[in-house]
Amino acid sequence: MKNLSRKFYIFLVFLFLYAPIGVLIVNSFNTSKSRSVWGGFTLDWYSKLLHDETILKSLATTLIVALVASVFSTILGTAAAIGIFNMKKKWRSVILDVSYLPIINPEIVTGVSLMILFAFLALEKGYLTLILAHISFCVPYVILNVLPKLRQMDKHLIEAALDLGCDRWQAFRKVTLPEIMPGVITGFLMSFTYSVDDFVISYFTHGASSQTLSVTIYSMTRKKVSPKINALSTLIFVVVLAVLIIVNIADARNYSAKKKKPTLQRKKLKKILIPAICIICVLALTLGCVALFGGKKEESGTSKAEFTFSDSVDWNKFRGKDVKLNVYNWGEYISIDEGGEEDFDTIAQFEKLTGIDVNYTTFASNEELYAKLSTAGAQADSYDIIIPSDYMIGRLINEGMLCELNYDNIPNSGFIDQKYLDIASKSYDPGNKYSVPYTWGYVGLIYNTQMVDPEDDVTTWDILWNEKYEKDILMFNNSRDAFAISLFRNGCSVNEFTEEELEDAADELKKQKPLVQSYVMDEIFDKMGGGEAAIAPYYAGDAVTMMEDNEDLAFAVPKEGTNLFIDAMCIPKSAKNKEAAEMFINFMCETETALANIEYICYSTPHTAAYESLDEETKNDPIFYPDFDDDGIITESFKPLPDNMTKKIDKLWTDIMTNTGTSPWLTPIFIVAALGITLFINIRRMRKKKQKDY
Amino acid sequence: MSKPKNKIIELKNVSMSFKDSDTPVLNNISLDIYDKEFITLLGPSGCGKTTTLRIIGGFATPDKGDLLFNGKRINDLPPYKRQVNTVFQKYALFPHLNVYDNVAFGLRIAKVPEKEVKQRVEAMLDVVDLHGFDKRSINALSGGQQQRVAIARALVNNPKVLLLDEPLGALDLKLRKEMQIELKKIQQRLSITFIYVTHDQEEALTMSDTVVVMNKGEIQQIGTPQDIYNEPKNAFVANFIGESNILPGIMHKDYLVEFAGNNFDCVDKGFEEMEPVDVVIRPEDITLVPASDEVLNGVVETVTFKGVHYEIVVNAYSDYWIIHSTKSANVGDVVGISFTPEDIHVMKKSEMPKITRYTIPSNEEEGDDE
Repeated sequence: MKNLSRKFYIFLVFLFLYAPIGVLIVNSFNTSKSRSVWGGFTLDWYSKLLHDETILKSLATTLIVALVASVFSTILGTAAAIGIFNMKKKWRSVILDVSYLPIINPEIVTGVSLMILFAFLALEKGYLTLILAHISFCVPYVILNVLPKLRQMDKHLIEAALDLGCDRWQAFRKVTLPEIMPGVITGFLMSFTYSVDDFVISYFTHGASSQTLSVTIYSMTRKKVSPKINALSTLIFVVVLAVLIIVNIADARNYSAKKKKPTLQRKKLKKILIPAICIICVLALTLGCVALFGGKKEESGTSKAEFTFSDSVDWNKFRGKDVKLNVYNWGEYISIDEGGEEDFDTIAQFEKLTGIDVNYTTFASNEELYAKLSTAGAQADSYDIIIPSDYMIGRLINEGMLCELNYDNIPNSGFIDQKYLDIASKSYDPGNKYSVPYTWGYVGLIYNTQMVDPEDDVTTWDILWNEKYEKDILMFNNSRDAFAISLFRNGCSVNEFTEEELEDAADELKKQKPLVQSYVMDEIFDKMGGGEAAIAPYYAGDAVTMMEDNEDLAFAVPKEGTNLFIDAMCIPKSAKNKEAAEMFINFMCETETALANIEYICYSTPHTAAYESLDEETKNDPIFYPDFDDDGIITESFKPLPDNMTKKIDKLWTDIMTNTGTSPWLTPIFIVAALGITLFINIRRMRKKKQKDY
Repeated sequence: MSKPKNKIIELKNVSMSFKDSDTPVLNNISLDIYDKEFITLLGPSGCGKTTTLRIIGGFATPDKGDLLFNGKRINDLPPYKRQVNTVFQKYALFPHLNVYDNVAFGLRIAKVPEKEVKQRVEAMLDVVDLHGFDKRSINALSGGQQQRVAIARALVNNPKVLLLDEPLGALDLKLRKEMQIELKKIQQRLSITFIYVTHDQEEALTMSDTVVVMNKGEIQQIGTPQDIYNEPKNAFVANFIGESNILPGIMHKDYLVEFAGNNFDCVDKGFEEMEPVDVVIRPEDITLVPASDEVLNGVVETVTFKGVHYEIVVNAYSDYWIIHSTKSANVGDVVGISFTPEDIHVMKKSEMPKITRYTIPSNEEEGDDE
C-alpha cells in the first residue's frame, strides 16, 4: 500500500514535470493550428519549420552566439577564477562578490543597462553586442564552477610541476588546467545553456541583423505562436534527451567497467563530459550552418514556381553594390516558403530580384518597436523598413522619427485603394507622406453558436456585459483595445474623449470584470477553438482562422462602431539606404507580393490589384471585406493619444486589472500565512538546536 | 663513514621570515651539503627544516644570505632551472595522469625522445619495484605505491640532488621501516645527494650520513647519527634524539661533575671550573642494582612493559629517572641506580627552557612546519 502510494506520488511528480512538454510534442504533430483541437496527425510543421528562414536564422544566431559567448566566457572566467584564487584574502572576497553581481542582478536591469551602454558607446547592435552581453552574464557561472576546483586542488601539484621542469605557463597547461577541467567544462556547459535560454537580455541587446530564437518566438505572440515552434521545441527536447541518454549510457558502462571507486569520478568526468561537449559543439555548429546556408541553397536549387514582377523601377539599381536592408516586421507577418510548390518567399524573391541583402527581424508589439527605435539612438539601430500600426505611425511622425517617402521610387503605391489612404490621412498620416498601407483589419465579436442564445443580439458590444455569459466571456488583455470597446459602447470616440468619458468607460470595464473568464491575447485561438468560451472580441482575420478550426464559431460586427486598424510600411530617419528601402516598399506593393502576403497573413489587403486576384470566395467574404457604409457601421482608426491620456488609460487599466474585487483579504492572508510558516520553521529549528546543545 | 669532499650545496647565513610575522623562520643558517651524502634535517614542527628544503628547491627565497650550488649563487634561479628534484610530503602526484605518465612527466617537459623516455621510465619503475604498474591510475594505488611513484618521478630526471619532504609521514609504521631501508638502498645505488626532512629521530638515525638537528630556525647540531646520539651538544638535541635523563649539574673540574647530590667521575673536560652544565644519561645506559650506599638510591614509581624492555621510572633525589631494563621491578621498591663514567655526557647549559623529563613528545608531534 505504502509502495503503491509512493509510486503514485512519483507518477504525479513526473506528470507535473513533463506534462507541458508532452502536450507540446503531441501538438507538434497536430494538423490543426489550435492547441486544443486534434485535427489529425501530420509532419507538416516539421517540414514548414525546415523551410522557415526566419526561425532557422534565429536558431543559427542563437547557437552561434551561445557557442562564441560560452567559449569566450569560459576562457575569461577561468582566467578570472585563477586570478581571484591567487589574490589576497581581503581582495578576494570583494572581487568575488562583485563578479557574482550579474547573477544576482535582475536580468531586466542587466539588459537595460547593457542596452544603454551600447547606445552610449555608439556600438551598432548586432552579433557583437549580443555576444558581449551574453559573455557578461556567462562569466560568473564559469567562475562559480572553476573556483571550487582550484580550492580542491593540492597546491603542491603546481610546485611539483615546476620542480619537474615546467615553467609557469607549462605548469598551468599541463597540471592546473587538467585538474580544474571538470569545473571548466561544467562552466562551459552552463554558459551555453544560459545563453541559449536567455530572452530578457537578448531582447534588449539584439540588433537589426541578429535576433535570437527566444526573441523571434516572442514576436509571434500577436498573431499566435506558430505550431512550427512546437516542432522546433520537440526537436530541441529530443536532442537534449539524446545527449542525456548517451551520457548516462557512457556513465553506466564506465561504472561497470571500473569498480574501483576513487578513480571513478575523475574518469567519469573526463570520459563523459568531454564527448558531451564535443557533441554539443558539433551539433550547434552543424545546426547553425545548416540553418544559415541550407535554407538558401535549397530555394535556389529546386525548381519552384516562377513569379513575374513589373518593371516599374530599375530593380537592378543596387545589384552588386553590397547594399543591406534591415526590415523590422511583426512576427509571422510576411509570406515565406514553407515547402509548398506555390509558396512565395518574399525576402528571397526580393533578394533575387534586386541583389540587395535583407536582414529580417520581428517584433511583438508597437511599443517594442518604439522602444527599439527610440532608445537606441539615431545611428545605432538602423532599421530601414518598419511596419507599425496606425497610432504608432502617428506618434513616430509627431516625434520626427520617420522619413518622408519619395513616391517616384514607389510607383506601385498607386495600387493602394484611395479609401485606405483617406483613412490614414484622416487619422494618423496627414497627406500620406510617411506610410504605405500594408494590411488592414478590424475588431469584431467571435462567438460560439452553440453557446450563445440565438435570441441574443450579437451585433452589439452589450453582449460582452450580458450576465448570462458569466465566465464565458473573453476580453482583450491590452488597454487600448479594451477601452475602445467600452468607449464605442458608450457612444464615444476612441480618439477624442474627455476624462469623464474615459472614467465612465473604466467603470463599465470594472463592472464587466466579474463576467470575464480571462483577459487574453493569442490564447484566444485555443479557448475559442476548443469551445471553452462563448464570446470574445478579436481581429477579423484571426477570427476566420479560428472558424476554420471550429465550425460552431461565427463572427459579427457591433453596430455601435468598431476599430479599423492599418499596418503600414515606413522608413525611419535612421535608415542607411532610403532609396533601397523605397525599392523594398515598391516590391511589397507588387501585385504578386501583396497577394502572397495577404494570403499568408490572412488579414485584409488595401492593394486593389491583389484584391482583384483573390479567389471569389475571399473577395466576397463579408468578414474580410465588409461593406461598413452599407451596414451603417462607423469605423474609427486609432490616433496617437496625448501623453496625459495615455498615462490615464494606463492607470485606469492597472486599477481594473489589480482590483480583484472578489477578496480584498487574499493578499494579507497570504502574507500572514507566509510569515507564520517562516516563524514556525525557525522556532522549530531553534528548538532542535537547543536540544542538541544540551 | 668517509665524507666525499666536494660541497654541492652551501647555505651561507641564510635568514628568512614570513611576511606577516616578526619571528624568523630561519635565523642565520649556514650549512654545507656534500656530494652523494644522505643528509637529514631533523627537528620539531616549525623548526624551519621544510623552509630550508623549499629554499633549496626554489619555492622560497631567503631574505638574507646566499644559496650556492656547485659554488654558484642560485638564489634567484626558478625551480625548473635547478638540478634538484623534490619528493613532496603528500607526493603531489598528478591525478589526471597514470603511473607511467607521471614518471615520464619531467622527461617529456625536457623534450627527451619518446623512445628514451620509455626506457628510462621503465628502468626507474623497476628501481622502485613498480614494474607492470604503468597503466594504473594514481588513485588506485596504495600509499606506499604512491610514494614509490613520487620517488621514481623525481629520480627519473637524474637530479644531482633529491629533496625529500617528510616522504614517509603518511605511511604506517611497518611500511615506513621498509621504505627507509629501500630509500637508503636507492640512494646508494644511484649515488646522488639526498636531502631528507623529517621530525622522526629514528628515521633520521637509520638512514642518514649526516643529521642536522634544527630548532626554532636555528641549527642545533650537525653530525653523524652516532655523534648526535652519543654526544648531543645541548639538552634540546639530547632530548629530541631519543629519551634521555637530563639533569642540572656543576662541572667541578675536568673529569669531575656534580649532580643529583653527588660527585661523579666522567670523561668530559674543557669546561670552566664550577660551570653549571646539563648532564645526560641515556635510559638504556643505566643499570638497576640493589640499593646500597655505593650508588644513587630511589623508589620505583611506575613500570611499563615496552616489548624489548621495561621502562621503569624511579624517583631519586627528587628527580624522575627513566631506566630501560630487561628486568622488571616492583612499584614501591627501593632500588639503586648505577652507571659508568662513560655513560655520563656533560653538555653546556643551553638556553632552552627546561624540558620536562619523561614525557618525550618528539615522536608524537605531527604536522607540517610551514
